[in-house]
Amino acid sequence: MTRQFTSFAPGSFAWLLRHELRLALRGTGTRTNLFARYAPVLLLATVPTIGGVLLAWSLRDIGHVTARDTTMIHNFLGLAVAGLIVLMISTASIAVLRTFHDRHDLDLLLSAPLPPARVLAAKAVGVTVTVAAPFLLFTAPFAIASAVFGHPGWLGGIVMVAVDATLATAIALGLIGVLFSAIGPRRARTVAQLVAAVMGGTIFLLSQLRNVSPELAQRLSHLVAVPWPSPLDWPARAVVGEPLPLLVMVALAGLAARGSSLFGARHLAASSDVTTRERRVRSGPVRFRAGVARVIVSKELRLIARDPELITQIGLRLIYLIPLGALVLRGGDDGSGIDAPGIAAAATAAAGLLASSLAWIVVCAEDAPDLLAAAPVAPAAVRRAKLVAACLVPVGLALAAAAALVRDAPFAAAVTLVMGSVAAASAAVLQAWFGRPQPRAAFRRRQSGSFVIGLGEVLLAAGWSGTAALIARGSPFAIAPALLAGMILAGAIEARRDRERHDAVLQAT
Amino acid sequence: MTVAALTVSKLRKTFAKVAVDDLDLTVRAGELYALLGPNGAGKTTTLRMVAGLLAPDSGGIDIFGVDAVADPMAAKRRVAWLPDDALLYDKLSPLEYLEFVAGLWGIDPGQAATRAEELLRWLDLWESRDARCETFSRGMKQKTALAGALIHDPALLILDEPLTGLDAGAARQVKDLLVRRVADGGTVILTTHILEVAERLADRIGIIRAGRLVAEGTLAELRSLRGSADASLEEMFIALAAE
Repeated sequence: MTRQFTSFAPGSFAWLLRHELRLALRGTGTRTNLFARYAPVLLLATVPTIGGVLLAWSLRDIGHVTARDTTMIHNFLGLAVAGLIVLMISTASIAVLRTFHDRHDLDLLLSAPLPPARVLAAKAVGVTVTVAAPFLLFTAPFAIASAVFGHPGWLGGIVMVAVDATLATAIALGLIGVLFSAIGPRRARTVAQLVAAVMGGTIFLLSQLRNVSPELAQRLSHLVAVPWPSPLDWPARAVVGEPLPLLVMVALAGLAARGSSLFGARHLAASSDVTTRERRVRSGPVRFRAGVARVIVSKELRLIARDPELITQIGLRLIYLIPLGALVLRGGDDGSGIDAPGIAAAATAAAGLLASSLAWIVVCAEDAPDLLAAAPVAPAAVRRAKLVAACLVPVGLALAAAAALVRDAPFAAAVTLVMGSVAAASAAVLQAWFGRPQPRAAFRRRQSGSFVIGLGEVLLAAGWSGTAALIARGSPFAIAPALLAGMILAGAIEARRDRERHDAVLQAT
Repeated sequence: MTVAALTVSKLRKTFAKVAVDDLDLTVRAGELYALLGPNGAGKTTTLRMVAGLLAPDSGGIDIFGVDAVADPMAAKRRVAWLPDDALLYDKLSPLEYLEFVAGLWGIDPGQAATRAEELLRWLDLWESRDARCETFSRGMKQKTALAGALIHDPALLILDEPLTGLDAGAARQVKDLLVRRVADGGTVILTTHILEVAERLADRIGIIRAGRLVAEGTLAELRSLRGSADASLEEMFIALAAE
């Protein structure tokens, strides 16, 4: 019996879109089991669903608000729509790069007897859906529940998420299309990733402004109280379901989608196959070095330094720590000063987490493992050199923090350097022991591949960080977080021995 | 008596099923040996064990008199391994790659720099010595990897499908290099599905099937084995593989 692959007509727009969405969904993980793949999504959807329904219930009687309240709500919604679109442009840029450039299926699709415009439109809509989906997951339950509880206009929020995603995709397609033809695919890719990372990081920091800089947040909050002139307030009015602004926003999104599929997608597809220009790495002669450790360390540092995508992703992880760091660093009761133990703690945590990321890159994401295995070098020597490479930058970070402290707080400076190095070394070792070999491109989702390692490295960083802060304060309670970190390491050593014994048994049988 | 370049005795490796089945094989020093066989016959597994990338379940591997199982480091110093999927780093230039490989094999830096220049010039890569490998064609990548395999002047060069995906010019360069290598006293083992290459280049040919050597010898010896003086290697290969 012939198997019916899909109910959509092969080659139709819906069929192509289904293909794009399937690939996008499969790109989020490596699990093949349906339950394993969708269980986290369902679990993730539970919280906003329950939260959204509860929030909608609590707001069911919000019928009578003052003009001042309306202004503030509109301004807040306007800012949310603007922030959302920036965040979505960041996400859409990465999705556009993946869909149009990384997947290498354009040649196949465009060589098929299908209208190119349909293929490109399906790809563009696929990007829009993947961009909108996570935001809809969080907003749709609230909007739908609100409609049920008497505010049908608030369904406009769902429409505005779709509008934002469409506009963001159109802007991303246009920008990347222009970049591709102006500076070539490879450089365009780097620039787009940097821009996307900066946008994402900026929005995140702005959302955490109260923690990072309460004074600036206070000053900006005055802006929310002033009414915005029309049509600047239309996106906000569309969110609450005012028909005219909503229609205008939908029309704008439609125009942008049409424009992007005519211009951006075609431009991008045409530029994808431009022969890449040779990229020179240096003008002077390469100095040949002696010694296995030196060549391995030098190779690893070169590879990291030449991978802007990895650097931006690592940088983003550190950016996400800033609000937490700001909370820790605001020492004293008035929250105005910066204390040395706080710096010691933040630098130690950052060194640990950075070392973990770098260790994954140099140990687990080795591009040519067979080359190293075929070389007349003991595997332990290779691993040691790689761990040194992974720890150099984090220890440098701890050293910089220590140098900043040494004049005013020499003891805290010493603690920062020692504990930063300890945190870096232990995190790197943990990753080297348990990290699974994966391609570098898997860096973003590496922790989803091993939840226990991810949790272990966070707890380890937290343990050493707490130890550093408490030692720097001269507290005897420093022993508690140190014990936590020690227990994690002891557990890791035992788990590793277990695995070695298991491997030995397998080998013997 | 000359020491054999490679002696494999009773070599065995099992994954889900037996991949290499008590294989015996000898490659003489200074010859080009072509190891042929259908897909899944155990060619790559055998060569990966010889290169020290896989541990055999049982059996011995002797490389120029060195027991590769007991002393893998000493054996690896004499061997270079080049698979069809080049062992390269996209973000390094050819010169940086050669510096790295030379460092791994412990070659004196001055000597390595001179040799790197020779190899890159000979393989027409000198002009691209500072370009990143990620911008290279498949042929250029394969030639860069070949330069890496030769930087430490290995006594035994093992190539697994070295001509896959190469254009005629690059394939010709690689074939010339192999011939020159053997003329200079080196030993080369290669696997290939392009039988014409084995027919023209190899001093001896081994045909492996289901992890066992089913025929071995010069082209003339194989023909006499089949009792057909004018049979092509392709005809003999298909007949042997099907038996």
